[in-house]
Amino acid sequence: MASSEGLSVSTVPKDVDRTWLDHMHEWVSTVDHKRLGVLYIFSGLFFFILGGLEATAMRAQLAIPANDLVEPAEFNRLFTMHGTTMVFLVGMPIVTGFGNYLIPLMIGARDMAFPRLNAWGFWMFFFGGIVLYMSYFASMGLYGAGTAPDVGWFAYSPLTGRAFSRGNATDYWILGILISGFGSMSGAINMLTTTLTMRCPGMTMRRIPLFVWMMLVVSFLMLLALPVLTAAQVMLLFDRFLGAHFFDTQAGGDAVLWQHFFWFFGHPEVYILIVPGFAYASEIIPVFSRKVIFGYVTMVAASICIGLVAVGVWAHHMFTVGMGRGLDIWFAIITMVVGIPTGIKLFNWIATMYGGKIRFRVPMLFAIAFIGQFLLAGLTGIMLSGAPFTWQLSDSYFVVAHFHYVLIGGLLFTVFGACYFWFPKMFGWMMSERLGLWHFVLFFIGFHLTFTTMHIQGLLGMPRRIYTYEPDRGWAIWNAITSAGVVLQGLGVAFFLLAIFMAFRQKKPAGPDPWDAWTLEWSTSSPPPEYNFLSLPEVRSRRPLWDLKHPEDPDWEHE
Amino acid sequence: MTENEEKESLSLPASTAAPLFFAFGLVLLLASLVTNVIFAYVGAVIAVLGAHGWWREMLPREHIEPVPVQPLSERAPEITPQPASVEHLVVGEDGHRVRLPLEYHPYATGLRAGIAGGIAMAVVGGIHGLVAAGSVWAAFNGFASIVMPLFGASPPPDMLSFHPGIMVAALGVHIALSLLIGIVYSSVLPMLPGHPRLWGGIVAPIVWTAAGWAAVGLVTPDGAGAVSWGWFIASQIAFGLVAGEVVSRSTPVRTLQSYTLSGRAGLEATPAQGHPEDHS
Amino acid sequence: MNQSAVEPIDMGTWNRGRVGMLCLIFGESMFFSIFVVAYLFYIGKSGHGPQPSEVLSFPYLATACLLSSSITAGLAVRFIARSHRWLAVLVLAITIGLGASFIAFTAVEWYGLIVDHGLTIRTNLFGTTFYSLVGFHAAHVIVGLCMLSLIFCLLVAGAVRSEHAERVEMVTWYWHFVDAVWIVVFSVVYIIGT
Repeated sequence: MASSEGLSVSTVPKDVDRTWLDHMHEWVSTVDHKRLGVLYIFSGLFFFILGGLEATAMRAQLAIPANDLVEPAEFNRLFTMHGTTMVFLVGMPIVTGFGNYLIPLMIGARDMAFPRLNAWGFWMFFFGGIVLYMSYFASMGLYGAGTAPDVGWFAYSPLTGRAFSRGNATDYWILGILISGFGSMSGAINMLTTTLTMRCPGMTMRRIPLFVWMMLVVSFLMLLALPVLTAAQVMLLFDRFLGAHFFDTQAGGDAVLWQHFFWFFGHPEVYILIVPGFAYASEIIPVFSRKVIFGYVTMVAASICIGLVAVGVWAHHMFTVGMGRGLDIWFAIITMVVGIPTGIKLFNWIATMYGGKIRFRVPMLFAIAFIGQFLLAGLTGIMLSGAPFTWQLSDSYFVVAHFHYVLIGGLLFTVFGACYFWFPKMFGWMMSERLGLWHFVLFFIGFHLTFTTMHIQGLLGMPRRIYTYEPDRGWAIWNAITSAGVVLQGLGVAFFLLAIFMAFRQKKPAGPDPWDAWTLEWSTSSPPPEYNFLSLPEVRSRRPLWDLKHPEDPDWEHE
Repeated sequence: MTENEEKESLSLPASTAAPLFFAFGLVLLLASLVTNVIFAYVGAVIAVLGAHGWWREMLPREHIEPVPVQPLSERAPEITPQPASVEHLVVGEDGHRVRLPLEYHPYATGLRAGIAGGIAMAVVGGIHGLVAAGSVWAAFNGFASIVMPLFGASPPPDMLSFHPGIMVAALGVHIALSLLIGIVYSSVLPMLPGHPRLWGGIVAPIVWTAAGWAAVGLVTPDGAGAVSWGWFIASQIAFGLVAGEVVSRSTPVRTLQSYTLSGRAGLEATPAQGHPEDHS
Repeated sequence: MNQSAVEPIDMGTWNRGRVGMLCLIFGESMFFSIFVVAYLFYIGKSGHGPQPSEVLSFPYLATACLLSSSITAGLAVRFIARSHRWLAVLVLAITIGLGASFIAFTAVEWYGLIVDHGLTIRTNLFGTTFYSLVGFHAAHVIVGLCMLSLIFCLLVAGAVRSEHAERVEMVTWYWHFVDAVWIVVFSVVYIIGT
């Protein structure tokens, strides 16, 4: 942040004179990491509603056998858009949003390293999402040459070639994600650079909150994986528009090459999604257990291990493709290995809670549910890592259940927890504990009705991506339960939205530190001023606010 | 009042819509692929305008704007010490849930136990081969003939002679497992109530032999019949007795918890040591 | 116990610009590596059409131009840091000239390939992987040339002073990266592939 003489200064209109146009202009031209973080998070929540509606439509269709609510071609579009939306337009922005908001506050900086790049990244993401959803409208007017993509969220070749995917549907998929990807990449550059170069005095790398460490690992993975996806998508664009033969089997190209490229991106991508969940849990659990996190150094080491090993496991998504025994064995073993540091982290969270004085507030409820659910999800993942097991259950609802368990049971629960935890800081109002409790209970029950049951359909052989099934398969009852759970989850999310709305209505002031927490962001007012800090507390340990609140037993005597 | 607190405004990078325009222009450019080429031209123009605007924000001087400092009433109050005191956990206190060993056996002891036990097991195996078939190598070859087909390798051609390749592989596995079990012994046996020699020498070998006997039928069809279980148990018990003996005779090392309070209190800055409730 | 100013730790050499540029280079390396992998994977697999050994000849001049332009770019930074403005202008002009020559050589080579040998991106796997890999590299060279030209114009106008040497150095880091990619590209395409 260079400051120089002879500033070119823009005037800030006084509060009283501001119209809604001024407010809009403020939001549209902001380069402040906090505003951009809020924009990212709320955009993510908006797309979450869209993706949820797509899921609801699918589950309504599958609730009873031989249903005809949704026709097959539309069903294909639904699962493609649902997957693409949830991964790229919900997961990535929420992760980037919380990172953007909190990293400068946690390390004592005024803003991110590259504020304007930050803004560019957000708008690229947002417009990319718009482009993807434009596909729904493209069939009505723009040459009638396309509609929403229907090739699955990982868009395998040769289905995506010109010959088999006619019109522009697949192109919308490619372009939407290509554009959004630039947003994530710029976010990653920003988070990495900010963390490494803009820490306040006293904030050594061994004292930054675990949240910041994990976002560092996430940024590294983003920079590693997203360009790979961009390259593969450019290759697909060349195939479709310029007649290239990257994945064209008739010209000697290899369709499996797409799978290798996509999953080399795709597996680090799912770690990009879940490691921030770990970050939120690592901040919430100590505060609500009134104990310091157990094994800070081990947690850092485990996160780095996860980041490095995750790069090498991609072909466990390709066990059924016929890679040969050697590769199958290698990827099976390395996938099991990546479970070890993850397990270490689980033990550390539990050890943090052990012996603590636990406060069962809403963020903590979500975090505790996360621990149990992520354990189960990880275990089904280890089951799937045995290649012969996957030979039986690949592309069945067991796999669908596994990844929804990790992503919803793992990531989404911690995201909800993070929302309740940091919302008071972001907006200065407390969210209602009662509404939060309704949200948690309804969503928890609905989640388990849907996704715990889903493992059973998978084991009974129900394939994924089918639009209906015969009544005599024995799947009907399980599908009915699964679909019933969606109703409760929807209600839960409705309570969540209501809680946000009511927080703005009721305006219960939160104060700077409603949870009695210990990292630097809780030393500012709520919401923080645009410049974050006027002056900083002295940072001599991992919990600077603890040291100030308890000078008789400061952390730096123990670290 | 510190230096910053006396200011009325601070400088921050100015807000600008240039990145938005640059993004929008790029998006129109790319969207022209699926819409109309006119968007490419429009998009290119907007992108150039946006890029130019962004450029002017950075050069020749970064465009910054003053941001008013919060009035005193809105600022977060300075953080003051809280009246509640920190609860310290003391090892040995009534109801204390932390169980910390006061002494432990170092890994070196475990390694020695593993080696000694491994030698004992091998000796029993050799005697078994000598007694049953007339060659010291017989028992080891017999074992290999069960295990090797599982990995797709052919079993040893004859049971009585020394086969270097097989013996090297077997030795590797044997050493690795013996060391591993030895380390487990040195960690776990002292924790168990009662006699470590009983646990390690008799109970554990019988338990893992029983598990092996139950499992071997699952892994290979006629494996269970090929193993002479009496001699096998004898070799495992030989391991257990010797390894357990080594562990029992070794001297434990005292941990930090066994120091006096004053001895502990003076320590700092060394990881994993210090006050009991702060184990990181 | 409060710190008065909110200024980050002085990171010395590892400031925002350097770390940011390194991140960009890392991301771009991953991008290029996918095209390199595709090229290597498809070597020898073109069933018909022109083959590399038939139509490619090692680009000695182009390589010499590009690699030496890295040296001159580094010199330009030194001169700027020491406020030798017109030396910097000269050396930067040479850098841009060498870079532009590289693009010209590439254009000539491509013209020959397309018109004389009938090799396009859609001809066969060799054409697909060759044009995409070399093409993206050339595109990055062009972007680098644009940045260098902008610096050149500012330098001539007297707007670049020695305190800006750090920023100019970041652009030259990008230029060195583009050079390094070229080394990989010509090894893969002209040495291994033929």
